[in-house]
Amino acid sequence: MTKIVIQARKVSKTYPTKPPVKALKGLSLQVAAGETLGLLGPNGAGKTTFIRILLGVLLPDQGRIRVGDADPVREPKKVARQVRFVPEQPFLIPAWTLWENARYWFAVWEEPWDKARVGEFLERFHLSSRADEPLTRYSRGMQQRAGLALALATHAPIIVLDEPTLGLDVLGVQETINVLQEAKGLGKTILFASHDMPFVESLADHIALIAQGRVLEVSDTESFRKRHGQEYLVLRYRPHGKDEVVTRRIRANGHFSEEQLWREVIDRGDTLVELKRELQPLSMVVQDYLQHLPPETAPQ
Amino acid sequence: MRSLTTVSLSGVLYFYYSLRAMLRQAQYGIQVLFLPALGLTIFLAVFAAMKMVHGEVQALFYPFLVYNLLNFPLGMVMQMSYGIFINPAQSNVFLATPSALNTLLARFLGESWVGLVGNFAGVIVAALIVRPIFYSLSGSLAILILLALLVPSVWLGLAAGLRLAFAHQLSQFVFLGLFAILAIPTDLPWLWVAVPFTASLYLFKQAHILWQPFLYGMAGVALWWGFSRWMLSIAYNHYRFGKGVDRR
Repeated sequence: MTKIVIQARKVSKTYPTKPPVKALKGLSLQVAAGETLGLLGPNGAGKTTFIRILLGVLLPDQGRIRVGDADPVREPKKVARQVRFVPEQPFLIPAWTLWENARYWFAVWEEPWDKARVGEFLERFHLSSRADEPLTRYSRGMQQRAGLALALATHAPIIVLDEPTLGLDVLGVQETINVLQEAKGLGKTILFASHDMPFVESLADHIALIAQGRVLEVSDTESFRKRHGQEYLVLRYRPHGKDEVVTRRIRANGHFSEEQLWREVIDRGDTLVELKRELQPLSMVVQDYLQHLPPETAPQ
Repeated sequence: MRSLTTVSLSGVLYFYYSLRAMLRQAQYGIQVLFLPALGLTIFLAVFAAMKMVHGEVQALFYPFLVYNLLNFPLGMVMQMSYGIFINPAQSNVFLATPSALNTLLARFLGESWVGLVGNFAGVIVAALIVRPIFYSLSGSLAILILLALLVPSVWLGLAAGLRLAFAHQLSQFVFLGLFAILAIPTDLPWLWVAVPFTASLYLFKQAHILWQPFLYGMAGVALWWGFSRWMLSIAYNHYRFGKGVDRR
């Protein structure tokens, strides 16, 4: 029987702000040992909140959660000994060399210092030739890869990553994919959150689709791909006098939501190519990109 | 015990690697000179004002020493704490380590060594200008109180940076604290307990050992240890509830 190392049951969290923000609404999830699970969802879906609860940094309002053999609410220290967290921004100290960072972070993580093992990991992730240089000379992608390599070099069985490709260019994303592909071979349990569907699909054994603080579905990557194989396009544009025309056109084809100055339009397939063409002469499209997220994750 | 080892090792490593990084980046050396200059500017402004009103300039030195010993652990730590907690991606990496807050404390101490060195350069220059009288016995007791106050000041600084949205502004008030220290009376026994550095300032002026202000001052320090630890624990609990400085 597969051992479950991360288990969340009906976890809820409302941030005590004015007005209160319901970030998680009864989220349930489990991750088996050695599995790579991708949390896929748009911004604001609750992925980061869930990760912070899992790490013991944030307390849930309701529900139960276990990580390894510890309860993050009562035993955050015990959780910290089993989990290495890699945030969306490079966390290593930029003025120091990679070797200096390695020595420091191993002390902070309470890992016995093993220079040979770290050297082996730096070699494996093609970092050793520049490990004596300060990180200010590294690209953002390389800094992120270096942080990840150090986290993997520890003996912690669980690795948690929050938006590991955020702010990376295509090359940086590919580097991260390569490192994580390699990491999967180490037998560690990996949980990562991302809004980038192709990235999640390229790594995860299972995908949990999250939106509005709930898990909409969990499935293996292959069946997920079959079900959500179509591409979805999100167009971002500034509200404009000619909104009416666009809104009508969009409402007929898909989902529509409003968020302050920006509006998101989600639609399927070929109609979007047409839509894009239609929007261009109106000079309304400020930014457009392929989001690849299923429409059910769109904000309500 | 394990936590203590982690904290001391990581603090020393932070200090050592920051020093190496500073030597690698030569231009940072110039910034070091600015640190004593900042504190000294305030000192010299007060010094000039006292001269103008024919005040006792010698009385300036010990308040300046107290100011430096408070500004560094309270004000600077508050600023650093706020700086890191406002960005959850960075602070969570530290909080998700076995020693959590203590690791951050070690980092702040390691990071603020430049500030500490700078502060004391300022204190030495001030001592050369004012040439204060130091009574070794009562003066030692006074310094003991000030050193014992360092720990609760650091805890309070960390707590404020973790919880208060205005911590950055508050730390700037601490930076101007010399004026408040000069204005506060130093001969009130209840104030020795409530504000222990007043006992210290009183002791610096005494040629003979006086146990009463020392004991009152130390009792006050003990209260501040308890209070600031409690504040830190409240601030951290609030942070875990989602009420930290990074709240949306």
